[in-house]
Amino acid sequence: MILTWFLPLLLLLLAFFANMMILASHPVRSVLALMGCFLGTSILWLMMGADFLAFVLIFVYVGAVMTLFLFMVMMLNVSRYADDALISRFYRCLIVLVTFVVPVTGYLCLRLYGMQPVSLISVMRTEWGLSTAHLVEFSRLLYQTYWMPLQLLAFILMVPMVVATGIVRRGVPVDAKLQSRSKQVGTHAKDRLTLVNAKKTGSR
Amino acid sequence: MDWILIIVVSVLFVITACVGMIINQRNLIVMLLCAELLFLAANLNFIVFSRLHQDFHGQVMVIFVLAAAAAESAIALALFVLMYRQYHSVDTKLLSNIRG
Repeated sequence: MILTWFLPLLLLLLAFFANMMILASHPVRSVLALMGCFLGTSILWLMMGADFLAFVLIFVYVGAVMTLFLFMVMMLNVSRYADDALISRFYRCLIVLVTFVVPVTGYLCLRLYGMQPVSLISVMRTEWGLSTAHLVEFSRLLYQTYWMPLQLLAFILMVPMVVATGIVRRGVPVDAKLQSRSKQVGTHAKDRLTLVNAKKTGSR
Repeated sequence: MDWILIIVVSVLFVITACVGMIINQRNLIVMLLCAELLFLAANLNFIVFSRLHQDFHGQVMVIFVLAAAAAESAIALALFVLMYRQYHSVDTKLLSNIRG
């Protein structure tokens, strides 16, 4: 019973988080809602047997990329015009109706009229169980068939990191006092110390 | 079958992301989040169909899509920081100055 209702409830939660993301008044809430979407989707992927990808989604995407998003949104002062982005209550209700209420009601109607969905979890258990055959097949594809695209992917991932660092890097300020080793080495003693005749200077 | 449900959810993700892009036209950050939701919908479809056809090529594609999405996020966030430094805001209205 719980397993049969788990998937619809999860999908309901995903639709709710997606709605919350676009209707939230503050961008931080939007980011948190999207993190909820990612977490729910990773559970869905686990149920479908894509466990490696589910953990990649959690560790890499939710753990790194979305946290970067969250920190950046918190760092930038974007709450100033958050109220301006709000739409009227009518459109807000319409969006919730189209993307949330209608699909959920449709599903419940279908279910009440006898269309019984098959639980994906039970299918998973009968076909794969606790075996690692699917992981072996996935790894073979990834590291043998697609090894070259994978290397390219690693390079593609490195390039934006360097580019992003270059974009946000501030130049050296004009009034900055910098240390130049070549100038320091090339100096002479007479440049460092100037003797002034105090008597002559005082008599002027 | 319940895989239809999952596809319906991915379609809902696409619709929600498009609607979100339209209603949050001034907020660049939420627009980027909507793009992320689109990527997520694409990934969900890849995995569902990979599961249905018992073919793991779709799951390998998900890795590539995830990497592209992460790279896009990094670049976009850097550009937002740059824009905030320039205009003290990430409002898209300010970008219309480029039109001249």
